[in-house]
Amino acid sequence: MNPWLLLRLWRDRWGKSDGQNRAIPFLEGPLSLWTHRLTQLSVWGLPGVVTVAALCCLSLFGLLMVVQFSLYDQLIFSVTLVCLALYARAYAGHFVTLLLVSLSVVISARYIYWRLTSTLVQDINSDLIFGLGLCLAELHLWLLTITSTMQDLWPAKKKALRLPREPAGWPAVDVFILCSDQTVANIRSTATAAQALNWPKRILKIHLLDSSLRAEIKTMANTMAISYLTPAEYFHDRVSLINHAVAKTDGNLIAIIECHSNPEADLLKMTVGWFLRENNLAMLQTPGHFLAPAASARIMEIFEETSRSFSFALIRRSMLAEIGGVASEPVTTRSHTALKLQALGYSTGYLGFAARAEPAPESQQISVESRWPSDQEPFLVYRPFGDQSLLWKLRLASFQDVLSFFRPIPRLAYLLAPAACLLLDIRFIQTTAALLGAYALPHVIHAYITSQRRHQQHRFSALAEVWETLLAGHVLCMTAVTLLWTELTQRKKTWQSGIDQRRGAFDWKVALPWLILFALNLAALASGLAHLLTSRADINEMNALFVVWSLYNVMVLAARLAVAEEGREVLLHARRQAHLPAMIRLASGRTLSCTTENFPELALSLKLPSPVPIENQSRVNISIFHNHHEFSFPAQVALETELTLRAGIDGPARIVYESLAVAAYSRGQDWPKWLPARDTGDPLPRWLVSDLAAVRRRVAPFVRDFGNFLRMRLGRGWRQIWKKK
Amino acid sequence: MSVVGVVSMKGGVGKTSLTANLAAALSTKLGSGRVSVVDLDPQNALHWHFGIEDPETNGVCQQSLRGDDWRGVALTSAFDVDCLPYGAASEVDREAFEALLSAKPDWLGEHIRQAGLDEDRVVLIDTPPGSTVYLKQVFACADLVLIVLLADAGSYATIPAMESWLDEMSSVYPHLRSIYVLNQVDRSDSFNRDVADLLQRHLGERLAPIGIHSDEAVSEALAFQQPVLAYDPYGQASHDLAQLAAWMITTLNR
Repeated sequence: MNPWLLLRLWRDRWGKSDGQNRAIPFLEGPLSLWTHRLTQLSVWGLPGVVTVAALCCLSLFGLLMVVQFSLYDQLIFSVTLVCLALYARAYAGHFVTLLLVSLSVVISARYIYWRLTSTLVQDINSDLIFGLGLCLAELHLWLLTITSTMQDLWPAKKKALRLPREPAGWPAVDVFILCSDQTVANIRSTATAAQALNWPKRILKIHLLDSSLRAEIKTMANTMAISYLTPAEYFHDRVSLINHAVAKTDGNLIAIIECHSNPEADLLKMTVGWFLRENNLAMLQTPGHFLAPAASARIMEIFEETSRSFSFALIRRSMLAEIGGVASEPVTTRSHTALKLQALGYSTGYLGFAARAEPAPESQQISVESRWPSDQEPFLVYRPFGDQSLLWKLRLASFQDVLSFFRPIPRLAYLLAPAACLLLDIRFIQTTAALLGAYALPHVIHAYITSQRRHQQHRFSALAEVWETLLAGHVLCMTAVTLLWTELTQRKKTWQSGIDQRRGAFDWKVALPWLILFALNLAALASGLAHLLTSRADINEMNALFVVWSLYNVMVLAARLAVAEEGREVLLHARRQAHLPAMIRLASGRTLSCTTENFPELALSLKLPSPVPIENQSRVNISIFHNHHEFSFPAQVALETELTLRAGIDGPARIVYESLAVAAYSRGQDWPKWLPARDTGDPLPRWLVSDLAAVRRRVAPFVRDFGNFLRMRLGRGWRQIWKKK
Repeated sequence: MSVVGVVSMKGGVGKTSLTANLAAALSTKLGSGRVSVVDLDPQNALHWHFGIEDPETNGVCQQSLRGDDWRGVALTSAFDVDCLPYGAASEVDREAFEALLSAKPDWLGEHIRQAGLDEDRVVLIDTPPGSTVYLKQVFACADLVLIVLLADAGSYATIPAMESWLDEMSSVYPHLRSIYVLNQVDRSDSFNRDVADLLQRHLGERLAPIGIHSDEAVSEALAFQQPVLAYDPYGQASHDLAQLAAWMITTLNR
C-alpha cells in the first residue's frame, strides 16, 4: 500500500503534472544575496571564530528556550519570528533554509520546554499521567524532526554516471532474488524481469534464493535457465540465505532484489556507474531495503520509492566479505550492514529516481550503445556522515532510526487526546487557551514552513499528514509484535517479509481500529460542541481548542478511511495487470473478441463478452493486441466462470509471451493509466464532457462575434460622443 | 452524402461480404436510414447478405437501361440498410448497361445524386473485381475507395496493377482518397502473418489501421442471410468491422 501512489493517481486523474512542477520557484533577492555573502566572509577562516560563534549561538538558543514571557511578550516575540520566517521562505538559498530551520528549532524548543515546565499538573493523578504522555509524544516528534532535519540538510545530489562504452570493463553482477513466502507466479514475474535487465548476458547471473525448498520453483529455475540456490539445511531467515548464496557465487557486484515487484530494465545501467567511479562505495540501495536504514532525505525517498515499488540493494562483494557478510542483528538495528560498512570507512548510497515515463526501448537485445535514459536521472544521496566514522554521528543516525521505529505510538496519542479531554474530561494541559495558542501556534506554523521548505518538491504537507496517519496504523501492529517478539525470545530475528506487510494491508477489516478512532473523535467533536453551547466561558476556551483539534483528527481519519478501499484496489494491481484487447480463435474457426484480465500472468485470465461453449482443456489460439500490433499464441483453456476463461500458455509460445510482457512493460512509469476504472473519479462523465465541449465550440464563435459587434458599435458611439464634445 | 467504393483487383477477397457487413456496422453507428448499399457487381449477390429474397422489381441495371432513376429500386432490409441490387440481368442487358457506363464516365455519380437520398447518407458501392467500367464509375464519384486485400500471394501480386491504376485515377480526380483494407487476417498462420507484415511495411500509412480477422462467423452469417454483426456480435470480425466503421466515419468527416 502506497498512499503516494494514490496521490499520484489522483493527480493523474485531474490532469495535473507530477514532480518538479509543483515546486514554487524561489526568489533570488536581497536575502539570498546577503546570506550568501555572510557565508563567504573571510572571518570564518580565522582560528576559533567558528567555535566562538557556535558557543554564542548555543547560549542564545538556551536563553531563548528557557526565558519566560508574559502572554503579550510571547505574542509579540512569536509574531515577529513568524513574520521573519514568512518573509524569508520566499527566497532561494541554502542559508535561508538553515535560517528557517533554526527559527523552527528555537520556537519548538521553547514550546516543548514551556509544555514540560508550566502546563503539567503538580499532583500525581490521571491528569498528570495523560499530560506527561502527550508531552512525551510531542517531545518524540520534536526530536524526530530535529534529527531528520540534521540528516538531510546537505543532501549531495549527484547526476547519473555513464558507464564506459566498452562493456569489457563492466563488472559481473549476481542477481539474488529473494523468493521466500512468495508465490510461484510472483517469482516467475520477477525472474523474467530480472532476465530482461539491460546488461550483457555473460556477466549477469540470476539466482533464486529460496528457503523453503519448493520443487516447482526449482523446475521453473531449470526451465528459465537460471540458478536455484538453496542451502542444505533449512534457514528460516533471509540473511543466512543471502550469506549462503554469497559464498556460492563470485560476481563483483551483488544485487539483491525482493520478489514483491519487478525491477526496471535499466536498473543496473543506472546504478553500476557509481561503483566504477567511487572506489569507496560499498552499497547502493533503494530506500525501502532492509540492509540499511531509511535514507536521510527519507521523505523524498519514500515518494520516489513508491513509483518503483521494489526493494533493491547493490553491494560490492569484496567489501561485504570484509564485514563478514550481511549482518544479522535484531530488527531494531536493521541498518547494521550499512553501519558496519560505514565503520570500515566505506560509503553507502541511496537511490532515488526521477519517476518519469521513459521511452520504449528500441529492442530487447542488449546493445553497447544502448540509450541512456536522459530524462530519467537517478540521484545519489550520500549519508552526510558516511565519509567520516565519527561515532556520535552514527549514534545520532541510529537514534533517529529508533525514534522513527516508535513513530506510530505518539501519533495515536494525538488522535486520542481530544477524545480523552472532551469525553473523559481529563485536563492534561493546565493552561489558558490564549497562552497555549501563543506557544503552540507559532510552533506549528514554523514546523509547517520548514517542512514545506525541505520537501516542497516532493510532497504536500497536508496530504502527507494523511499519509503518515495511514502509515501509523499500518506499522503499529508490526511495531508492537516485533518489539514483544524480540524482547521475549531474544532470538536473532530479521525483518519481516515484504508480503506480510502488503497482503490486504488496508482493507476494511484492518481499517476497523481506525473506524473506532474515527467514531471516538466524532463523539468528542459532538460532546465538545455541546459543551461549548452550554457551559461557562472560561472552560469554553480550552474546549474550543480541543474541538478544533478533534475536527482536524476527524478530517484526517476520514481521508484515511476514504482511501482504504482504494488502497486495496491499488494493491491488487501492484504488478500492473493490464486489460488489453484480445481475441480467441477456436478450433472451429470462429473467433471471440475479449479482454485480458491479468495480462503478464502466465495463467492468463480472459474476460468474455458472452458465454461460449468451450470444452475444458481445448486448444485455441489467443491473440493479444498491443499498440496496434497483434501477438498470437496457442494456448490451452478452461472455463473458470461462465464469462472468464483461463488460458495456459506454454511451449515455445511462452517465450514470445514473456518477451511481449517485458516489451509492454518497458514503457516506464505510465502505469497508472493502465489501471482499470481509472476514470471513475471524474466529476463529469466522458460523454457529457464531450457534449459540453461541442456546445462550447458552437457557442464560442457567436459570443466572440457578438462581442466584436458590441465593441464596434460602442466604439463608434463613444467616438461620436467625443466628437460632439 | 458520402460515397464509398469497395474495390479489388482480384476476385474472392470477400469484397461483397465486407461491403454488406461494413454497411451494417456503419448503420449501427449512425442510426437507421443513414446507410445505403449499391450493388454494381453483375453477380447480384449483395442483397443476400441482408436476407432479401430475389426481388420482384428490377435492379439498377434494367432500371438504368430504361432511363428511370433509382428511386423504385431501393429495398429496405431488417438491418437498417437500404439495398439497391444489381438485378437479375440477362447477358444482353449487362452488355448494354456496360456500354452505357463506358459512354458516360460520370453516370453513376449523377444517378446517385438523382436517387433522392438525404444529405447525411453514406452510400457503399460494391464492384466486380478487376479494372472494369464499374471501377471507373466508382472512382469518378467516390469520396473514399476501400481496396480489399487478402494477406496472400495473389493479392500481393495485384498491388502493382492497383497502384498504377490509382496513379492514373489520382491525376484525374486529385481529391480522391483510397485506402487498403486487409481482410481475413489470421496471425496464427505463419504465412498469413508474414504476408501481412510485408504488406504493412510496403503500404505503410495507406493500409487501414484496422484489418478484419478471418472468422468462420462471416461465412456462417451469409448462410443465415444476415450481416455478421447480427449473427455473431461478439466475434472478432464483428469487433473489427465496428472499429473499421468508426474509423471510416472519422476519415469521412475529416
